[in-house]
Amino acid sequence: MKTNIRKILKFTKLLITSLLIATVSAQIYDYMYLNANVGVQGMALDYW
Amino acid sequence: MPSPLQPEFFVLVGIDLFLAMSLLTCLLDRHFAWQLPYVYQLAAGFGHLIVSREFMASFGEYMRFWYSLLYLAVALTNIVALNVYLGVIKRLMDYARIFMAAVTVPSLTLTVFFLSNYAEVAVHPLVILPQMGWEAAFVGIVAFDTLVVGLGTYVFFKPRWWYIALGAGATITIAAAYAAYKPSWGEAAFIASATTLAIACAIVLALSTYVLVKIWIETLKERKNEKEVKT
Repeated sequence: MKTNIRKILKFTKLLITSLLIATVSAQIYDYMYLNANVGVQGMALDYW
Repeated sequence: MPSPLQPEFFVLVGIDLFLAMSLLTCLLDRHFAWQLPYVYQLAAGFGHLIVSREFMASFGEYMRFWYSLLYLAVALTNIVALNVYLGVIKRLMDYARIFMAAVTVPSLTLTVFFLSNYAEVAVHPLVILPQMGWEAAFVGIVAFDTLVVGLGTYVFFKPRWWYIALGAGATITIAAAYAAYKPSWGEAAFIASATTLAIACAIVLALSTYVLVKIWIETLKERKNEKEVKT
């Protein structure tokens, strides 16, 4: 079977750009979740 | 309860589908235009622009959901179009079948799965439908079942078309009249008609399956005979 170098190069190029686009989009999507640490603390009471 | 999925998730799925299509059309470049993989990459890049945190402040969740869904719908339409192109225009039925089983059906199934999941817990209703009374629902069910039975009978048994049209028309008219006048026998008639239609649907489906299996076995036999004649 004849190896088609041009096709391999084209496919590799598209694969790299695909990985780049998919990774960056997923990262931005992940960044869209707002993370916040909220805690609750009871007030100090003084009995006197 | 807010949805655990952001609406942009659908854009993300659309981007991945466009990228997959780009690679697939590159691999099958004998059958597609050479520019097509690049067009799909551009479409994926455009989708990437839509996934932005800035839009969260500008648009509400409802709006974000609809433009995300539109993008995904465009990606899915492209998949279906490629499938049809392979099968109908290029007449590559084997390719089209494989493409349908490996790409089209899984993509559509996954989309339906994620959409139903999103719809269950979405803050806003996705589609606002008018409230249907039981009368309208009853007539709708009867009409749908009659259509399925009529179509199945016509395709497999080839009777005169107006026999079926008359039967189907009479069934739907009687159901509509029943729903409009609500006679005193009430629930019993509802249950009886629903059971009868369900049995009719089951019979037509069973007969259709039988006819299909018979045709399939005959085709296999013919192919075998042809092979034997050639050898």
